[in-house]
Amino acid sequence: MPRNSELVGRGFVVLSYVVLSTLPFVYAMARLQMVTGQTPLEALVNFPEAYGAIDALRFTLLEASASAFLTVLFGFPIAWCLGRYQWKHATMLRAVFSVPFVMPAIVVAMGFLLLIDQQSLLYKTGLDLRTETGVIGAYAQRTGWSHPGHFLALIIAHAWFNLSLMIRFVEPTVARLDPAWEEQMSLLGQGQSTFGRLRHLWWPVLGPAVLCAASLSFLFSFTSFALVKWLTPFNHTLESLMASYGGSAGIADYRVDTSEIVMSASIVQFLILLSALYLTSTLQRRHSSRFALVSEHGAQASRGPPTFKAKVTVYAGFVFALAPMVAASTASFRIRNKTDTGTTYTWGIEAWNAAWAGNLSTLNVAEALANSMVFALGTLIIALPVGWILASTIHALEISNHHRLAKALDVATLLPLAISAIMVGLGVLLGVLKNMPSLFQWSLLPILPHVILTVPFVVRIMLPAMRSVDPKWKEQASVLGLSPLRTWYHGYFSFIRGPAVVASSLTLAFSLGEFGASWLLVRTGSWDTLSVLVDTLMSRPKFDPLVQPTAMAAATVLMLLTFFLFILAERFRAEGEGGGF
Amino acid sequence: MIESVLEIKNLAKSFDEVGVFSGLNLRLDGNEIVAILGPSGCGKSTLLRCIVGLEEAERGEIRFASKRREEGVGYLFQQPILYPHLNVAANIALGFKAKPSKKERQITIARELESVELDGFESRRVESLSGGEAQRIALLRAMLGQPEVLLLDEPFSALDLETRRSITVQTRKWLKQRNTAAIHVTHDPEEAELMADRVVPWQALFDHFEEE
Repeated sequence: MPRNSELVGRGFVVLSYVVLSTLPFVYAMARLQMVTGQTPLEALVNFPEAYGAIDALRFTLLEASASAFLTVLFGFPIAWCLGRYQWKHATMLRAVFSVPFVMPAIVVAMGFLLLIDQQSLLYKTGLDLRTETGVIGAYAQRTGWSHPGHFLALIIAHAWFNLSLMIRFVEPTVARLDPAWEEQMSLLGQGQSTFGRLRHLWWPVLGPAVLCAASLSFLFSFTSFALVKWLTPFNHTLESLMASYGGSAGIADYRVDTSEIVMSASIVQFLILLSALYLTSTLQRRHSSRFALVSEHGAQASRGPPTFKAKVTVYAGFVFALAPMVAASTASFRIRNKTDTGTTYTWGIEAWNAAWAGNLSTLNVAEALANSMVFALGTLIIALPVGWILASTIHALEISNHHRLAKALDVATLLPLAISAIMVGLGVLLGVLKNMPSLFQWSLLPILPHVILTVPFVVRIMLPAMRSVDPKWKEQASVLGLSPLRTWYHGYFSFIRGPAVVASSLTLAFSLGEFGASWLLVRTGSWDTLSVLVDTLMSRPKFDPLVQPTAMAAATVLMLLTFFLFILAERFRAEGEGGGF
Repeated sequence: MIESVLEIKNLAKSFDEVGVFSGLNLRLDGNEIVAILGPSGCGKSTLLRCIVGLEEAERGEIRFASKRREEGVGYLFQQPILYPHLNVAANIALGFKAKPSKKERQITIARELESVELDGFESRRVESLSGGEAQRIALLRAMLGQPEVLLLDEPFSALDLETRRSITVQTRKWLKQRNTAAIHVTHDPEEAELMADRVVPWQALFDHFEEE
């Protein structure tokens, strides 16, 4: 039984987190309500009349649905082939397929911009997504659809970004499903045909996982900001609409229309995201361990090495996963030279020198990296214990048969995912401006939204690990006469050390790459993060040939750091662990 | 003369160049129940997997009286594999070769359940079944396709002694009622005697095949 002081401590942390995660949204809403004089319901009703809102909603729904579809289309065959056969470098392959999800969106945007650039291989094959000439231009002219190339680039980038969701959810089940189940099905009357096996075995087993990954892809594509900002500059999503009007929203008697747009858009977005989260959470429960799972090595050994088709699928996916990252780092060494005869390119490290010297920005890469690290470490110091306490409280409630309370708290920890980073940033901004303006000068302010946005991931990773620890280990340790600390260490902590490292690495990676909230909150150049620095550099006019390569150099540093953290996390991930990111 | 439903001649199988068996011969006559008796790990299960087509034999010949192997053979695994996303009736229905009408399906399943003394189990969840009940459901499902030969891969080995004896006797009775031939592999001589018309020790499978 937990002691009273422990219960009070836990209650305090849980309550603080719930308040902290909902307060920015509630505060932003209250402020916007005061400025616009509308209730949330009125704002919802007035949504169609807000300038650009319907177009933004239509575009957001279209791009998020298309992105989710494309994620399934690209990701499922890879997940299937990867899980089904014995691959020589399976850990490395998995890491490469998973790393896009933690890659900073701004780096991805830069990578994809380069892949669709006029110097790119894609352009040379006649597929001009950027300036939309050739086939794409003809299609745009015939259908009257403006900028289909940009739209295509965005949904491909989203599919790339969310590839790991499909692999993390589907691949472990494919890899560990007892082969005897498949054999049994093939020997039964209804399992003789491929369609029969698909209907009676594979759909019930994999369907919830596929739909769960698809609904999460929808969710993340819906709130995507950096990719939308850079790849589809002619269209607004709800998120980018809020970001562009957010700067002047919430100020009394000034541009009330912008407050109205932000208020109604955020309510619509909140409702849609809440529905998507509810669907995800329901599907996640159905994607359970009812199915007989065996050791991944045992199941794969029975199917042997990959077939030729599987190799083509996985290696094509491998190239796709690496392409934007390779493009971004290669571009950092490629310098444009404009001469009278035309434009040529040379290879060199001038951009890297400029990045380290900070010639083109307020900060150099090292200083921005230090800022990012300070924010990331600050986030980790708070988010890990908070997430840990939340997860252990949910687990404690579950084992003491308080299932409803446990479920409510579980859903509450997911809430920040339904509130976009822009809204969290805006809420913090407005709340601080109103109540503690002096805090606005506090350079560590971005840590607050980073904590709110990363705690759900810590809970998602720690909770399944805590559920899987058998209490007999702790009981065994306690009857051996060990001290309470050693009992806790040997009977509990040693089993969740791996997931704790995974959660720490991912928290650091998410915080390092976070862009939306930092973009809103970092108001003084001296506290720019690496992701803000990349955006600032890319937003500069490109007369200076070093501007773009310097941005790519900064993006490469961020990418390498994230990659390193992810590989570290992979080493500690348990076999078959997939659902918890 | 009774026609043989299955003939195996000179069968060989190895895994990663390690031989499992070689020169194996067996003949199964119509509605005959044969028990193959051998120690664990000798290759009994591999033999059944070769017969049903889950493993490919390296050499030799497996000949069925029916034209298509998948239509002629039923298989019962060591552990009953019942799918937890389906209830008992839906699990049994997987055994139908052609999809029956809803009414026909209900009547057939109810009749089959009654024949194994599990009447009223249609809507039960498979997690709630005992080992013996689950294995009887799996047996029922395997028989639904009316196979010519049923292969039993030590399906009762995980059950307690009393249940094992009673289910073995019941299965034999059932197979005889349906005129179905069977190969039952086991390491338990008592179970082999209870089940089979003919008990064949594993080593005897490697004697030369007697040509008619």
